Amino acid sequence: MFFIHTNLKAEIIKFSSCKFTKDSLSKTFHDVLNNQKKEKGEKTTPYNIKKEMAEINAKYEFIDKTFNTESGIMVKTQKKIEKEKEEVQSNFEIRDDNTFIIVDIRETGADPFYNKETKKIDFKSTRVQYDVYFYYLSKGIVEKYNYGGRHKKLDYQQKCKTNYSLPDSSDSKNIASGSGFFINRNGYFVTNNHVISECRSKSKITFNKKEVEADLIATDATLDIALLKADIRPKNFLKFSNDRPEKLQKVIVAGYPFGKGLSDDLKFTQGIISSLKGYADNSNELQIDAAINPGNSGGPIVNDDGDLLAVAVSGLSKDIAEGINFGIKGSSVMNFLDVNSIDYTYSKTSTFSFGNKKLNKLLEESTVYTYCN
Amino acid sequence: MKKLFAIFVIFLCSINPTLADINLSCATTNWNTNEDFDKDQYNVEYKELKPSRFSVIIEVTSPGKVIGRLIGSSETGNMRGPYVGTMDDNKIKMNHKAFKINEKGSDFTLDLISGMFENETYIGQYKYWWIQQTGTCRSVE
Repeated sequence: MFFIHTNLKAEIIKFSSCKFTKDSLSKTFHDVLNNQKKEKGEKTTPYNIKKEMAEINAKYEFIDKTFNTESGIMVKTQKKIEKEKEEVQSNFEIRDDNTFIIVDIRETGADPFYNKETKKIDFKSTRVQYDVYFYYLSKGIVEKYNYGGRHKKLDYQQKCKTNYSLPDSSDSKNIASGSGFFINRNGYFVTNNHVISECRSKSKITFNKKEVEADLIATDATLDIALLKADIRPKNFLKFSNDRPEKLQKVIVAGYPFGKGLSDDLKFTQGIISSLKGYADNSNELQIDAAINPGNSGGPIVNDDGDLLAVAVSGLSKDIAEGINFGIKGSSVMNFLDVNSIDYTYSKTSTFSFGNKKLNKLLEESTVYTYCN
Repeated sequence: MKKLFAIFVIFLCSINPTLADINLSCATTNWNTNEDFDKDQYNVEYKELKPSRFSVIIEVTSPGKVIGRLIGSSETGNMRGPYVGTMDDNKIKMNHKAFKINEKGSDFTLDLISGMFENETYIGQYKYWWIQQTGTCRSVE
């Protein structure tokens, strides 16, 4: 009974373009050559690891390794220059979130002697050889050790490109993250209550690529809305639409789906208003078909002019539905702000569309990534 | 005290997600031989020794699987290894093969409750062990 948990999901982890960075055999050969030179009175040369590794790596076109965490099989594919491609499969063990191990046991010749009959080097006996390969996933490092008696000797080390990053890094340390948007120049911003409700410490936002703490001003758990204030003056903020939302009206959703694990860039999706009611006839919400993913929560849903229509809040599971997502209506958000005596602005009715550049600039400057630990 | 030893070893394996090595300090106190290893019965000769100390380094290769090295001292001489095996909350059981993969080799079993170990060496494929070393281990940080 062990208490070791790995967060590894079924996935393919790839090590590519592996290069030797250490090789004990090349050092041994070098030392033997130097000893011979010494005996002959020739000049010896110091071991230059970079040069030696470059010589070994020049022999290979590529060395790749693919780990299938579901089957537990690693496929090593390598090709030496002017040789056929080789492919070897091995079972690996998952040591932890960052390390796979292969324990290889094999018989090898021991006690060599010259066989006069065959005129070849032969072996009097066999020994069992224990090779252990360590694969450090996030760093893309392969180390092969030889275990013999009391010794654990490094045979070689390779450095590879890896597609794996530790699940316990950067964004995943945050217990909650989502999107939000400024509603005035005083640093007040709105997000969903569920984005900040689990926070053990103050919420933070990323503003001008810096972490800024935010104070919680008010929440409405029923509506799933929260108001926070950061001690900053945003360049821009969103105005509430003067017009009532209409079915088939084009909408744009801005936010940070999947947090910054995906990328730190603000992302947009677009669609239409499908219904003026939310789930279970909720009249505080509207339904849209623009994609909303985890991390979009609290982000703005705007019209072509960049006026706020709603706040992204939820969606039906992608397993059972497609394009059924919900936003909290701007009118409900205004009610929430009114009762908390917070100033906001209505948009002036415009007769022409905003244009992509301006709309992008407005949303970039007024939408924030919010998270907490 | 012995239970504490077991709890400590299990604790070592459970706290660290990178699966730290387990270091043991052991002493052989008995060297037993069984001349009838090729028959169906034991004919064991027990010999008590002055405790001969050695160390064991056990690395966890995956949850429940281990590779162990026995580090001999001047009191024991060189010791064979490595040993590959399994671990649960009661015992560590590892096997070492020296010459052939299909031989029985040596079985090292450590009782995590009592801290007692047995290291039994077989000849080829014979059913019964030929030499048995027994003693105790304690965990060292």
